[in-house]
Amino acid sequence: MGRTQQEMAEAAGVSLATWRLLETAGRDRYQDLTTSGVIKSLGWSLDAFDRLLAGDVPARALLEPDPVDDTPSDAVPAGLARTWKELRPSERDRVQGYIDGLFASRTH
Amino acid sequence: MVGTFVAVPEHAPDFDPFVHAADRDDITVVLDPVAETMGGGFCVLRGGHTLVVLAPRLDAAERREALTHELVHGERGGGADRSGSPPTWAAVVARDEVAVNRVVAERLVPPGRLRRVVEELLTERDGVDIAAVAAAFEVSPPIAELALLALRHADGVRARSERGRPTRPGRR
Repeated sequence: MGRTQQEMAEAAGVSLATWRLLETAGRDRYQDLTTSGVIKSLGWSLDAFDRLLAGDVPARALLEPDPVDDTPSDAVPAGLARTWKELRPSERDRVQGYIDGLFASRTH
Repeated sequence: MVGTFVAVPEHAPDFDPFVHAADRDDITVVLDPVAETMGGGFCVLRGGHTLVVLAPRLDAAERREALTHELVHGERGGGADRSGSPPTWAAVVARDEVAVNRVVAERLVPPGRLRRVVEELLTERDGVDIAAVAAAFEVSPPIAELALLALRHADGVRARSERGRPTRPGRR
């Protein structure tokens, strides 16, 4: 792929050791956050792992994008210099209200 | 959108995040003071659409860097932050931010141009400092530093392979 294991691990948000385990099929199961990070870093469809295990054709399972909203339901805005956790409740309400309003205006 | 990790060729033209965003129907960029709440900008994904909000007070160079940063977040499927995550998750979020900034550095400080700038600086001065590189590419010092580190790493790998020595085990 032209990228090092370290780069792939960072893109997936997992440790280098975990990435190496993945490459060598060192485990039967992985945490959901691990598989979702790997899927994102490889540009696979979100249900690629499940479809592959279910016997789907690899090319179709890996490359077809998932047509539904793939944003995790617990995802929060990524801030430039402050994380969501650092915000006070009133600040969170302000940002969330702004986002909800903007998306609502897009759909109308 | 998910995982579109674009590697920039060494001699690619300057990356303009505003042109990139304008070409995409699934990206909306808005200037609004609410972005100050999250330090000058934020990105959120919903329904396959990426919304980037930037603070109006940012100057042109800051907007370019901030938008690139948020676009990379969008390409990676959003930030790593999750509601209800334990305090230890902060390390994952911090690691994700570094990974994002490495891509930002690669795009805004292309290795080919950086190498030429470094050679010019070495000709004109005794050494290369982060501030000079940051000024040359109109990026923040942390991004300039990441770009210089990446260049040093790439040159180190090249030097090792030219000497016929294998790179570190586990590297491809």
